[in-house]
Amino acid sequence: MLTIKNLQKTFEEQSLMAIKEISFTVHDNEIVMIIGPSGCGKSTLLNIISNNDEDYSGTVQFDKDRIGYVFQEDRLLPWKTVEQNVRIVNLEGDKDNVDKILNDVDILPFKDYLPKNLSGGMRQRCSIARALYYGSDLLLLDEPFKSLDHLLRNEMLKLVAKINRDTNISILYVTHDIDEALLLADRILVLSKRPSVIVDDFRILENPMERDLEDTKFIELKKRIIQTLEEKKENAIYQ
Amino acid sequence: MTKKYNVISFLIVMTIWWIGSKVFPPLVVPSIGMVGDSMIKILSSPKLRFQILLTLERLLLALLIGNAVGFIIGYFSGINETFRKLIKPIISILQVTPPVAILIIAIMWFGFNGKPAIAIAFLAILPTIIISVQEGILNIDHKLIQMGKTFKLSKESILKNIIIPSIAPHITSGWKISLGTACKTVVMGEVLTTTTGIGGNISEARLNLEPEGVIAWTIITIILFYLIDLLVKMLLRKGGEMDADN
Ligand SMILES: Nc1ncnc2c1ncn2[C@@H]1O[C@H](COP(=O)(O)OP(=O)(O)OP(=O)(O)O)[C@@H](O)[C@H]1O
Ligand SMILES: [Mg+2]
Repeated sequence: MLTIKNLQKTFEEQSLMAIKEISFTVHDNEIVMIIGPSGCGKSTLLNIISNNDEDYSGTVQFDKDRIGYVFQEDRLLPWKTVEQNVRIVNLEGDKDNVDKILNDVDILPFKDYLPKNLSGGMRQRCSIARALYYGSDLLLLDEPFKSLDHLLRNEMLKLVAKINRDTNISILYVTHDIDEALLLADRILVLSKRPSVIVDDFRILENPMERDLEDTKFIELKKRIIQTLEEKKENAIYQ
Repeated sequence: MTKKYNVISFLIVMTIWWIGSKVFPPLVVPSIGMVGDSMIKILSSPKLRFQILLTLERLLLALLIGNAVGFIIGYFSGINETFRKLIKPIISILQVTPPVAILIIAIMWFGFNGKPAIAIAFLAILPTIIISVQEGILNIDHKLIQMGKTFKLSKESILKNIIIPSIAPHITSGWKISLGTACKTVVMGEVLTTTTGIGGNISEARLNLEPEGVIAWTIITIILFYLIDLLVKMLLRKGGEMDADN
């Protein structure tokens, strides 16, 4: 459903190459997670996929209709309540569904609050609710759960897995957290430092969120990812 | 809460005035009663009430033209950097030019009638309106517009839900300042160029050595300011309520 070929991105004004060469495909109903060092171009990649940045070379093909984007920052409208922020992206949608989704992300009691009266994690969950209510075919998530405590983060990961299981939504999820990726991903892409290329790419077949990270297989995978990130760090070209 | 402080501050001013009128002769500080009588005289005379309307008309004209021109210039200087740089020095000059100098030129153009008063009020509020519209546009969060486009909001929805709410606070604060400036300059222009309107009557009261008349007309000007401000606020609130249900 999403095919990226030979994507390259340079910020011309700063003559800074963010992405050197990236190609991959996200299939229907797949959870692809991207791990990469800070500043390697992950948000840049999501901005290109979501049409917010059209200045790149290579091809990006999306053959469905709607892309929901949970930005790295919440990007809520400060003058609208939680409920209004969610509803605004789909005014024809079923109003009752707003409550259901707000309940899923555990902020229903705050639906009449303005964003400034919410915590960072709550704002982020409101931003997720918005993307879910939009009725996305592809969901882009940019470190969505970074400011949540361990328990809540687990709940949210389960929610993402459930949405993926119950619907046909594909998910492209950017994270710094290797455990998170190992728990949830169907496929993990590891990016190098900037200018980024894909340095590792593997699939995990067990059902999302039903995996035991204590299992030797996952311990090995984790080691492998950490090693890749460290190796490529030394080889990376610093500009 | 602020109401309480308004009342207290009003009482303080009245007390100082009352003490002043006991200490100084009426020609220097007229008594509260004299000013009250003078106001009643003004408000009960159709001829004098008409003078208030004259000033109101000039005031509204200046505000209308000032806001229209200011919005257009402010809009373009908000979206275009070259234009912004070009008009910046002009705005600065406008801000430091003494209103009286503008007034004298306006008299040479329009003669001794109400028009110079309109012209000077217009020029006095123009910089404020331009700057507030420009700052409002410059402060629109580009990332929120990106968000709107990502979720395929319509152009109208982006305008209504993102752009206008971003600009509005700048414009309302600019509006309040420019309304005050317009009230002051219109009356000043009238004092110096015509015998009509509130300003014309203030200079008449001065010639007749009636300080209570000067103060009465001044108070009427202040009331005019609050009435217009209240009216505009009510209109804006109505507009906001109509928008609230998406
Ligand atoms: N608008 C921009 N103009 C110029 N350079 C930019 C712009 N946006 C990002 N960059 C640069 O591109 C590189 C990648 O940025 P990006 O935000 O994609 O990183 P990231 O992988 O999302 O990092 P993080 O994990 O910290 O969020 C950085 O070096 C950044 O300085
Ligand atoms: Mg990022």
